[in-house]
Amino acid sequence: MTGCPFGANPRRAPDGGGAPESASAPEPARASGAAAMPAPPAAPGSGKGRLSRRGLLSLAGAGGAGAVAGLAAGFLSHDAVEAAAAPVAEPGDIIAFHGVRQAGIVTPAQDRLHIAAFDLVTEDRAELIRLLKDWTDAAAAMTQGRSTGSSGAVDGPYDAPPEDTGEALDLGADRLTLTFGFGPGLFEKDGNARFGLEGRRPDALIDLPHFPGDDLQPGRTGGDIVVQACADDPQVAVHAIRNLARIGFGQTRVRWSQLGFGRTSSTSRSQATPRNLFGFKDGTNNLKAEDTALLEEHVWAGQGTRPEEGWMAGGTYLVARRVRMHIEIWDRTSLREQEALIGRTKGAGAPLSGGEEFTAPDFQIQGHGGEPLIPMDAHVRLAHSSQNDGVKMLRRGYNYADGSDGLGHLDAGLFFIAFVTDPRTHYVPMQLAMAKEDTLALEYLKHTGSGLFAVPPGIRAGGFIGEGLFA
Amino acid sequence: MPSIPLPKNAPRFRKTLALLAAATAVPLALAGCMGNPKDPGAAGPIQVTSSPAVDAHLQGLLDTGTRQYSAFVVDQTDQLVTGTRAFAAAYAAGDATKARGLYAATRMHWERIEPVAESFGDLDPKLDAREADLEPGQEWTGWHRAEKDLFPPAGYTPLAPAERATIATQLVADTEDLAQRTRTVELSADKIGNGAKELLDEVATGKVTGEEEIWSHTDLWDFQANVDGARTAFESLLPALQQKDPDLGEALEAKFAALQAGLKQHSTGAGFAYYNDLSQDQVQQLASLVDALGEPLAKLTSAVAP
Ligand code: HEM
Repeated sequence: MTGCPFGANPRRAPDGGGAPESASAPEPARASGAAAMPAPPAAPGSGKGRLSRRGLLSLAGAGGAGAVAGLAAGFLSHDAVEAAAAPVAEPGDIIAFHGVRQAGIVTPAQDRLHIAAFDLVTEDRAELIRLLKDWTDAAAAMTQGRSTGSSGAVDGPYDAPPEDTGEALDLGADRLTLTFGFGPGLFEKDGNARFGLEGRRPDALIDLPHFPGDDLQPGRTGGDIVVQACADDPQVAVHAIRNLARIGFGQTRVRWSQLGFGRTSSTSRSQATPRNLFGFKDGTNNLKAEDTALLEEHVWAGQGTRPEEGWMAGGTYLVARRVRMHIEIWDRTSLREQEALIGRTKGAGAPLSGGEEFTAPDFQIQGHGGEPLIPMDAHVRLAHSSQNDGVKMLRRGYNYADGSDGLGHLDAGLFFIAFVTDPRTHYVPMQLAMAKEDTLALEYLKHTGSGLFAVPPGIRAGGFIGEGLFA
Repeated sequence: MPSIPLPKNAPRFRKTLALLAAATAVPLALAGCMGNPKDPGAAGPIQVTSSPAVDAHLQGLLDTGTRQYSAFVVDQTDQLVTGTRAFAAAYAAGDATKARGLYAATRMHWERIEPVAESFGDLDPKLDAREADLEPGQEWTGWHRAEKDLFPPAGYTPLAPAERATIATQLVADTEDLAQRTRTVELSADKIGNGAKELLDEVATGKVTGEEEIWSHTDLWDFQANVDGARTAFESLLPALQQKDPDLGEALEAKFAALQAGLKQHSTGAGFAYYNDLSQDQVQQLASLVDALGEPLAKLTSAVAP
């Protein structure tokens, strides 16, 4: 590697050695002799032609190899080498990590989820801040398709455990987003303030009340910090949570975590509507990224009423509910009944009042016998803003299937995630109404896990997650 | 439940170590000449590992540490042999109360040096196989065979006196064989560093889960002994580590202390709480202390190994 201009400090390459898009060469061999070899064409595993993490981490090496080859050939400029090695990366593969808002909220919902809630095992404010900074660095790297740490998964000392765990090496960023939120437990424990955060708990970060029918398991409920990892490849999402958990040992422990294998929501008009495990289109009438005015009103949090909670301005609240579906019972229900329970057709997802998928439902229109076409207890009626003081939410849930329950049934359902401006107005009343009147909820659903988290605004370059809270 | 006394000599191995350090104090005195190892400014070119003088000095520290740790292994195997003879005698004689009382405390000597013992691939299964470890047709001997007989589950058929005597005789013979073989084992800094990590891995996968002692539930004795062993290994390497990566040394000291404090909460006059008396919450707390130590401990070997 001698003579390589970046060789001395591989960690600088991805940041300083040009935009990530400009790298694509596969990992150079460990032996320095190989550095003079021209980069081979895309490795077999990179059939998708995307940028691999290993390539990114080794940009220095790759650039060096290219440069040496170019000099040897005698006519290639450095730029030309870079152009020759230029990306085949899909343009939409990387989602920016830094910004005014956190990613993973209005980002078009990715296909897979791994979400984890952590409990803090330290009481030391400085340690907490250091953790958030370390997590920020790792999240910034992983969301851009890079490995964690300065030496990644395979470039560290041979006798030390690698910094990065490695299972995402040959994968791209896959639109990974990492979204962080703070639970009530971060602010207080047994009635005492933690981490010097007296008064900083936002008023909207309530302790959720018990809803009728709740069957919450402590091991699936609560948590001091939540991390939502979404990506189009499940391994990328799992890798992200795993590495954050590892970085956190000593400060945190995983309280619960959940995989979601398929999105149940669309959060952009550019996306097709997916289906949940009841077989219905889900996300049709969701808030979408394009609805900027509505997002401002229903999703993004304001200043609050006290200066101490001003740090949440531009953030939002994440409601998580693990909703087990009694799918076997559902499957024995007639199509007529299924559609009546939802209030939409199963095939097209059109409202029962008529039209196409995106036709607005008409809750007044009646059919034979004066019965409303969309029944009074239909889920979409009870959840519609017209029934809920005008409130809307941004739903971003995922289907899950976690093995079986020992009684011959699948433990499957919907991991419900919603982002709202204030859960007191935008979640609790609706959930309470549904828990009492929604036949769907009463007969076919059981809430087994729950969490509410204050999601701070976005992270500026050079800043860290939740910085405003510690200012 | 019978009460199982803590070994009277629990702190003894630490003293042994201190004595040994005094006996081989030359390189340690040298460390004094280097000034405060935590203050590289005063100590000169400590960070520069390419200087031959520093290399030689470091190697000296590692050699001393290796000698100390070897002495620790010898000391523990000696005590293990003595303890095992007493346990085996009581067990073979049908004195179950006495044998139960000696069981956990004697095993601590084994658990402290487990990675060394495990390096003899044939002895480890003979001495320490759990019933769940056996393959079909494999003969079951060793500590856990006796454990099941002494802390029998419901519906268990006790062993006949002759069978007990066979188990006891074999246990002593295998332990003596082990002690003999440890005398010739070649230790080195990287083996000691990896051994520390392995001991903590043992805690994480077997002790904190209650899988090691499924009948006696004395997992916390093993837990303590594994931590003792890991800590001794770490302390043997600490002088060298303080030269190469003082921050890691400090972090490890703090994490060991935190884990020890957590474990102490479950110590009783006679020893420790039984695993099956711990709440889920208490187990989780211990597990997160183990994880907190495990991550930095995994870096020990590469930090000190030349
Ligand atoms: C397993 C649980 C659930 C299932 C299977 C489910 C299913 C559906 C379906 C099929 C739709 C119609 C398509 C759409 O507009 O997206 C819908 C709409 C909706 N759901 Fe759910 N849902 C569940 C839980 C919840 C919960 C817990 C809430 C909130 C407390 C909720 C709030 C809504 C809202 C606000 C709408 C949009 C209604 C509209 O404006 O038309 N859902 N849900």
